[in-house]
Amino acid sequence: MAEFNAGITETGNVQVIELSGFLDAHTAPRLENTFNELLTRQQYRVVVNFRNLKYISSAGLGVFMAFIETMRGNGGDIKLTEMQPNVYNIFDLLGFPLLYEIFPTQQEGIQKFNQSSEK
Amino acid sequence: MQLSVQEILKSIRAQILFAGILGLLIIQFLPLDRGTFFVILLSDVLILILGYAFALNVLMVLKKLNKKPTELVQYILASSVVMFVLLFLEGRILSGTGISGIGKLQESGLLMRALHFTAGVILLFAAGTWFVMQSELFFLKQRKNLKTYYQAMLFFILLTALSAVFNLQQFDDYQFIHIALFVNTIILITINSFRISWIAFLDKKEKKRLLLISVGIIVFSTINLVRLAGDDHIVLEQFSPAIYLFGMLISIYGIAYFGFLFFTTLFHLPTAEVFDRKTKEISSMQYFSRLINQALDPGELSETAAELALTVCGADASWLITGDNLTIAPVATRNISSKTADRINSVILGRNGNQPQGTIYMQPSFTGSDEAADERFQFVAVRPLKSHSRINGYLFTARKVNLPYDSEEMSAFETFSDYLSIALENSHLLAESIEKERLERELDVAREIQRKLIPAELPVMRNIELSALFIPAFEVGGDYYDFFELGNGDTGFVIADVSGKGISAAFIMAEIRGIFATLSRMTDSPRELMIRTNQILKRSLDRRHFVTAVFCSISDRQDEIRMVRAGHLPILRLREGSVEEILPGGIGLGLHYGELFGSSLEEISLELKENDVFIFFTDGITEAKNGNMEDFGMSALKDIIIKHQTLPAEDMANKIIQEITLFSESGTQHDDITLMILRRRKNLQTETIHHGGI
Repeated sequence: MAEFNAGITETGNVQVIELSGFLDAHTAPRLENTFNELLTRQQYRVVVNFRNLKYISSAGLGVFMAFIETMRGNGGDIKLTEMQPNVYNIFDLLGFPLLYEIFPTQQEGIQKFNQSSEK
Repeated sequence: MQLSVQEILKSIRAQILFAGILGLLIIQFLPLDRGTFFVILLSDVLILILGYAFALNVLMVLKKLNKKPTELVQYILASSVVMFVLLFLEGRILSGTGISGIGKLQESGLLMRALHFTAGVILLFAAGTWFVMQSELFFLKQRKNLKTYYQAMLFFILLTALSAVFNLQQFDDYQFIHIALFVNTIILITINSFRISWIAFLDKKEKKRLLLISVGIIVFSTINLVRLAGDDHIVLEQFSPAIYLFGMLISIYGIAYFGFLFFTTLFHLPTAEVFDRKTKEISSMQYFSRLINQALDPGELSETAAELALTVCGADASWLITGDNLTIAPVATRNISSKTADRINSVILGRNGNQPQGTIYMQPSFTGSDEAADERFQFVAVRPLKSHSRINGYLFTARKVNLPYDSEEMSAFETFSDYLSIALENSHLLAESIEKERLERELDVAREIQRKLIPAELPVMRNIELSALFIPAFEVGGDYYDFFELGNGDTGFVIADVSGKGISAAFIMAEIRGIFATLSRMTDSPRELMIRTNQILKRSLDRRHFVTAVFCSISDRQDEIRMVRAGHLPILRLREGSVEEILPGGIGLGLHYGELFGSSLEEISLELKENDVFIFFTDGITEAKNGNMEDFGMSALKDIIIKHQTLPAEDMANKIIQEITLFSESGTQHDDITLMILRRRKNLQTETIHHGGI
């Protein structure tokens, strides 16, 4: 099984989490740790890059649901970017596009943050 | 009753003791000529036998006692003191009565003779006790076989004592025999005085005590010897030359042995501390290696290890950090505050990168108003606790003095750390297997709940052929389906997939089932029912869980199907040889509790044409994995459906499951599989009507 990884890089005042591998019930706690780390650092503007994520299970989706309200409550957001078609399909079926902002590229996600802060 | 050999020996000893005293009494108090050589010799032989019997009895008692060297030495001192008191009293009494000189004892009264007799016997017993204790001491912790030397010494002591008769003035022609024997005895005593290896095994405190006691013994033995050699005790000599000489010899032996002992112990004192520490170190290590094999809670083990590390490594403070996240606070601390330990951790681990692989010995300089500086830890040793080349933690020991570990302390520290790694690993493995067992029991409960929730029977509908299949995964996946009779006579059914696995999913499943069962009696509208379900779930579903579901109602006439989809996979419809995905809008239950849920939820109504087949399923089918972790996929499912489009619902379901089993042969089933197929029968209704018409 492809090793799961969630690494943070900082781009301006936006935190980018880059995912790879399989995000399921066993690896979801690691993504939770990553989000908790951002919370302790009081970083609420998050762009998640799904480019290298091969699979996401319902437990993996649950992680985003657990944190999005906190991020939004603190003036931030979680923006989802660069999903592979199979991963996007899962988000789409569940109706995530109605609830989350999903962008084809990471750059667009970051830009969206910058636009809203300029306003 | 049969007497055992030991009991017989015991009784013999008692008899010898009794006979000896009796014989001595006879010789002493019968009007025999006390000046005769043979009478004196016989008296002495009797006395020595008596002494031997007494010594044997003392030995018997001693066997039951704990023979600690310091206790034996104390008995020796006590015996010396008893002899000293006796000799003192004897001298006093004699000088008081004015009896002295050769043959005077014979002339003194019966009372005096009785007194002398008692004094002589007590002196004999004291000397006997002294000698027994001394011999015990001699053989203590002896590795070499030294019996020969000791027996030779004993033999010569006895011979010299017996030959003391030649010391008496009337027999001094043969005094040379006695002198020769005496010299031999002294040589043997000297040789045997070197046997004091047992003092090495005493700790410092005991050694100090031993020094004091040996000084006491030397002092009393010297006084006794001087007094015996003086003129005061001629009467005693007359009573029994053997006792007299025996007393002298053991005094000499005492001076020689304890003199040598005193100096040796004195020279051992500086090294005593090192020896003490080594002994403690070894016993702590042994204690700890026993602990390894006991099933201990990791926390408890860490505490014990921190405690033992102090003794094993001779450190002032010790602490441990364990776990995946090695930056966490110390788990067990001894003689150091968590805060200070934390500070030292960050200095040491921080300076050498995050996870040093090897042992570190260092003299850190804590500067400024640091707490670590306040406590003045000047030397710190750190060793990673590795198992299977993975670092599970670190053991720290620290000293307040600037005294680095020497090579032996290093090896003790390293060995101890390695033991600790194994012990920790063991206790973690145990904890894990307990946790695994707990999870398995939990899964059993979850499976049981799920099994009870799935309906046992399918509803019977005239024009619809129905098949439902459910295959649970090992970890309960949260799939669920059910049928309801709606208020307007329609048949309702639901297929749902709860996110997450195990017992939490099973509980949500049970709740959903209750909600659907209740609401299906209150409303006929699938959309209404789904929106109300979402509202109710708001109270119980936590933020990271959600449920996907499809709710359908089939009209009473079985010609129309209404459906809503809340985030669930599409429904497949097979009509005229092609498969179509039906995907009404709707977000998953529990993803949003506001207006959005309702506004996104689209209810569609479809005509049920003859031979229409509807396939409902969960992601256990499309996401079934093969050995390469590839998904079974939607298109494969569609292909099977088309391939077997003419088969009855149940056969088609079996074919699908068959293909999935083939596909995922090498992999395990990760998720529950639920598959429901309904097929609108052909012309059945017309036939029924036709029959009805007859």
